[in-house]
Amino acid sequence: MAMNNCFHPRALTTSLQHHSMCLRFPLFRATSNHGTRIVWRGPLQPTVWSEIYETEIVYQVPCRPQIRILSPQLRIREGFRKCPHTFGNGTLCVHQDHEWNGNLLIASTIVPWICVWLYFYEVWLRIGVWRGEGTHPHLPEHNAVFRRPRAAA
Amino acid sequence: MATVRPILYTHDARSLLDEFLWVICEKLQLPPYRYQLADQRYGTINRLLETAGSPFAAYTPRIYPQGSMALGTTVKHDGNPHDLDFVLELRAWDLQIQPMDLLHALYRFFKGNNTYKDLTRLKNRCVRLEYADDFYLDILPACRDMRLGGTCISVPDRALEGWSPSNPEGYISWFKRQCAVRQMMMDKATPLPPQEAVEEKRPLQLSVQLLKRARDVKFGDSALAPISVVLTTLAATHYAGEDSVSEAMVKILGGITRMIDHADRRGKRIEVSNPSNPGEDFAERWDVSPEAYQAFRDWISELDHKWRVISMSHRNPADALEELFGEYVPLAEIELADRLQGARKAGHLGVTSAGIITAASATRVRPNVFHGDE
Repeated sequence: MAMNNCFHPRALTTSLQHHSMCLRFPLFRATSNHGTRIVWRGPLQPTVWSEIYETEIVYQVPCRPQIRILSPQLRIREGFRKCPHTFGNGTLCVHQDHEWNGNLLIASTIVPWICVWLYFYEVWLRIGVWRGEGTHPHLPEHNAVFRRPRAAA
Repeated sequence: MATVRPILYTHDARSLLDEFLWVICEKLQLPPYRYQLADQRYGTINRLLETAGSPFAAYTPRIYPQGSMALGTTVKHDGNPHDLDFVLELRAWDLQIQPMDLLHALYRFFKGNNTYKDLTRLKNRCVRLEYADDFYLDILPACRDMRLGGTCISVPDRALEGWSPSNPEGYISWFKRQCAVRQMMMDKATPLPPQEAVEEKRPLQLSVQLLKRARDVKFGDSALAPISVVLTTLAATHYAGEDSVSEAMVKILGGITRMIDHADRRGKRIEVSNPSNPGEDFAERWDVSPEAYQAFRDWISELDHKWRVISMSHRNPADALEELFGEYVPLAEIELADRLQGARKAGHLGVTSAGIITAASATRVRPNVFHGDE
């Protein structure tokens, strides 16, 4: 493999990922850790006014980590059929495929992205627009303000 | 400290609320292009009044802004024209001139000018220029007050058929002192103070904007609405130099509430004396309209209560703020989200170990793009 023109470093191990997770997000704990598969749960609160979201991250080396909000349950704003930037199974979509691989620390990529996702989710719940941009800008939540103000001048 | 700048993302609910209020004020003040337009029009009128053919040229006229424009407390009015006040002060004593002659001379001057003849209206104390784009410039002609001297002036009053005392420059100086901002230097034809970005404003100016906006939302066009100078004077009287806008509002509303309680115990209404002319009570109209005073008392009591709840809230107070300030609140929320998005793209965000988004932190947020199923 070392002679190959492509450079493919081995993905970081779950123990390395877990070590950095403990350092940066000490409230997260591993609820299961079997060699190449690890599950963390922990609280995230994007602003001091926000809910505290109990979050689960399931990581099977080196696949895309699965992110789910356990509580409070994510709400869907009236007029929408699902939360923006989620997959059909309800897990969050916080990055594009090319933005993450198994050589990156989950604690310094995925977790901060979840926090920002939660911030924009709360704005979306209140105002009805997703201001965090993303890859489906033609969807209705990316459109301008739904509640158009009276005095916009 | 000359300016208070908002902190972007923070662990502390009060700073977060202050940041929200700064952005609300940014949205509700006179937009910059309107401000520049007012500035241009005012400059043109000033030159016109000074030209050789003008009946005022001999009196070295000096024109300067007064009211919200001079104080930095402008607030947009939903659907209503914006009126901006200017004083045209002549270098002459009030005893030398007949007040009604002066007012009518100014009116005739604009009526006789091709550019202004269709815009000109005569009001009780001023000549109003009504521009087609919902913009009113009120020009109060004035002479120097011989009796009081200093910056005191006399303005013609049609209802009194005589002079009425005023001291706008004195008021502006007092307000600026209360703001702890260096006193404006007044030259001949004082230029409009460059409009301050909200982050350069003192919490007192922002508090006045918030009070005026809350008044507009509550009272709309009702004649019971307390007038701006009453709100401005009360706010500046009770402001104690707080650096936090939300805290300044707590102090101001608490102070007004105590004043009302104190007056109630004596069976009287509160007085709002003009700090630059203590003989004048800005709240005189409450003598002839007790229902307006009652409406003011009820409103302050309600606002004081709501504000204390908002300022102590550990939850997002956007709904409560929207009830008070209307549609500028969701506009401000969008602005805040867009600023966060800009900071995120620039890689300036971080998160704490609890997940709170901050401007600087151990765990930096790498720029990413949200994705997902459609």
